[in-house]
Amino acid sequence: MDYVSFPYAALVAAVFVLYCLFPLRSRYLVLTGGSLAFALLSLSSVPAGIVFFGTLALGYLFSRMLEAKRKEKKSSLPLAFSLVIIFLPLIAVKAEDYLAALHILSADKAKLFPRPVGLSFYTLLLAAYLADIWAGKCQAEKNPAKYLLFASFFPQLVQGPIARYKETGDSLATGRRFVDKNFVHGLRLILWGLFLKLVLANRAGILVDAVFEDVSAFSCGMAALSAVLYSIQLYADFSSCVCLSLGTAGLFGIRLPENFCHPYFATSIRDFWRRWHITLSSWLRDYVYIPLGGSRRGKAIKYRNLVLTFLVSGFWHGGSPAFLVWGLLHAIYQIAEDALGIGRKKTEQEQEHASFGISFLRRIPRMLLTFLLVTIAWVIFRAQSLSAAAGLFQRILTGAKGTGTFSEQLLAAGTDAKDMAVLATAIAVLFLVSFLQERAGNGKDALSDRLDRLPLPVRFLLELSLIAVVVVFGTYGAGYHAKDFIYGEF
Amino acid sequence: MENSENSSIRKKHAGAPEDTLFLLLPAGKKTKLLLRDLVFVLLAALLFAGLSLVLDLKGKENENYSAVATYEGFYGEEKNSMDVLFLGSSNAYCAFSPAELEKRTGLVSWNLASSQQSLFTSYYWLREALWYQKPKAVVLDAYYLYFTLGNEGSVHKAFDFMRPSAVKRQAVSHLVRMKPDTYNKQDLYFPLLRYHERWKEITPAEAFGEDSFASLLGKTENRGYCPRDEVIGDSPYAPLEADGSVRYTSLETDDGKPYEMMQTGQITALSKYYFEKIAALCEENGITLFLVKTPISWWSEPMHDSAQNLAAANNVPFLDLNERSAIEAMDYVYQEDAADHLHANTEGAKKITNYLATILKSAIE
Repeated sequence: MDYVSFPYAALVAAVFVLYCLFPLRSRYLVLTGGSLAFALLSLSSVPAGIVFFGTLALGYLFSRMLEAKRKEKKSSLPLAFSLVIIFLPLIAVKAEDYLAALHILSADKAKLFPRPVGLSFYTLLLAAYLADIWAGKCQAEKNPAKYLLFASFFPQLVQGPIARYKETGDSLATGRRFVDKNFVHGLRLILWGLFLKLVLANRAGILVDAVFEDVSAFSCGMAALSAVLYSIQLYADFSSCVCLSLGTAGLFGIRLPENFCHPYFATSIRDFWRRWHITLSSWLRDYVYIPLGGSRRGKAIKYRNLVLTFLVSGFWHGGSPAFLVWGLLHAIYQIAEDALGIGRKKTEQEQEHASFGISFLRRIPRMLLTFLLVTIAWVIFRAQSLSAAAGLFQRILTGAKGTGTFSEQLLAAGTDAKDMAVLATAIAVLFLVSFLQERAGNGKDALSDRLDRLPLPVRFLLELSLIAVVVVFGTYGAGYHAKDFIYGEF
Repeated sequence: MENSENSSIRKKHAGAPEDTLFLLLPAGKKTKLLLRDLVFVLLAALLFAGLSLVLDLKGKENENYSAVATYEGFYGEEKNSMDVLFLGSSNAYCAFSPAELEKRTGLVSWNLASSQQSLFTSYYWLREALWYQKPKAVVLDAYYLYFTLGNEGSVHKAFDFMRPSAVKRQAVSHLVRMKPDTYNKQDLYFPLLRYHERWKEITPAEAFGEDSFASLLGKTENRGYCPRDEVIGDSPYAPLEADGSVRYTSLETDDGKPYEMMQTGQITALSKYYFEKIAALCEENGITLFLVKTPISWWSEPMHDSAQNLAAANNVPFLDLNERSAIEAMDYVYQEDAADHLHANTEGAKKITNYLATILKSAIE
């Protein structure tokens, strides 16, 4: 079930109404029921359903077992065993993908293992949950319905955020009363998510897909444009899903963790990873980087750990060696930054971000350089093969000419000047809103709070205008084949 | 005095500011918030409707015809005031003039034909029309017996203006079942979701000027008829002879050869199915149905035969105006009275309507 669809909207509306009608103490059951319904409607086959519910059931059993055995602490075998079982479906799917990418398996044989919706995300969520129980950081949830809710909460099942039990467990399970501000902010976030997905990401995707499909017909300018647009498309696409997730959860008064903090305002790669897919970054930090020793055992070990962590990230993101190269590239970027003393400590950067205005202008050169480095890596990510990525880079660097004028190339890519004008405007709006959010402070709520304080007619005008923009300029409908959320494929 | 429920609510949400919990708000504030939300929803609905009026297809063919005027105009007429309804594709809306019919016989009518109107669309529009009118006769042009649904735009032009009735619900459901890749329910009830992309081609005239929904709505004086001023001129046309010696009325086609439908006269299964439903519907309602073929270049003896057989099998009179007897009775001069290969011009429409007028008058009386 697609998050941007009428059936999903109907499901959310039904769950919301039932949630408000149920007695406070049992409201979580409505959310559990809604999550079950969403999972059943999204699972593509019976085997996928078996893997999905089987993993969740085993996760529950393991959580109870680990809590019981934790105090004994004789060996880590119980934890290791649990994690291996939980990770098995994900490893199997990745193995299939890699074997296909390396042409050891044919494409049709490489889709035999079931791929339940949200596999990559709920696996990490469960792994963190089990590890935290073992470490005594949280208690196992005994109530199966509450556990099921935590593990498969429908707004976050497909693309995260990857929540920790300590962050959301209690919040999900406690019945919450209707709060007008939560409801309005939730709707606003959903609207913003629809704008990012339909007006920006889907539209950018048309040109990006055409150029990456066959770069030989396009000029170096178009190739460079497609690389930049992919960086923006990926951000808008993923961020839109996060907005839809957080916004939907917000309707119920549930706060899911933020996953983005304007990543393209980062002034170093290290800063970038504090702003992009934050819940994954922190998962990797807590469950891969720190257990490996982090940065506490000398530079050599620190760099090794960076490489290993980002290789894991690359492995998680995709099913071909190109993703490992992508991960490795990010590790190399950070090693270079560390060696050159670039990318200051978190607290210094926070101070810098707090003092806005002229310091933002001073950040621009570093922001642009970071964006360039990230985009180079994204090209490898998108191309999904090193040869295809090399083809695009070569096109750009050799100043190649395409077939026809720029307008003709736009048409060949399935778009036109009017669409590009709308896209440019949408990107400008995204930049403006991101700038205002960055200035307003922590999280998107701060900007939403400021919107609340505007005179009602002005607020209505802004909100209704955004609705009009999404309905009119959104890239959806019979003339367009909807693009699946990119991160949903991981 | 605070009751125990409120105090337990406060305890449970100790962290949340009390005045944001909706239940704990004073009644006045609650009303204000609900009113604010209601106003927003109404404004959003108005916005959607406004965008729809600007961006949806209006089916304007020329200064004197649009699908808007045909269908919205029909709904605006006095109930049970019509004696005759016309249905069919553009062949029909160029050939049958309600004004001419009324002048000649006093019979009141409306032309519900539309661009590429299939028998499917004719059937559902007739069903819808019968909720508002009790005609004694229906005239259906035969051209679309040889086709299926018509293009997507033409389907929308007819159905976008049908009110959301039980008839529309059935039509939409059949349409979506027939072509799930092309049609979906939300687009058929809210055409804006399909045609929002027209923002690229909308002109100021269509948004606010003479081509806008509001302007077209007023132009109903032709009652669904589309006057055409063009003249086909020097184009060969041979009426069908009684002895069947003329096989094709014209071979002025793309490649000079008869189109397949002209050679085979094959009526499509979809058209046959819905023609039979139209015939049954008319019979149930005591309506005399006439199957008519207006004079066109792309007609043939096989097409005549298959239409004749289908009509006969359903006890429906078939009037082929391509036959010599009809052409001569109408004094129809193809080169002067046709606008193009498929459509009559104003002169041709007068002659066709007057010819039918006598037949309709006697059938109704």
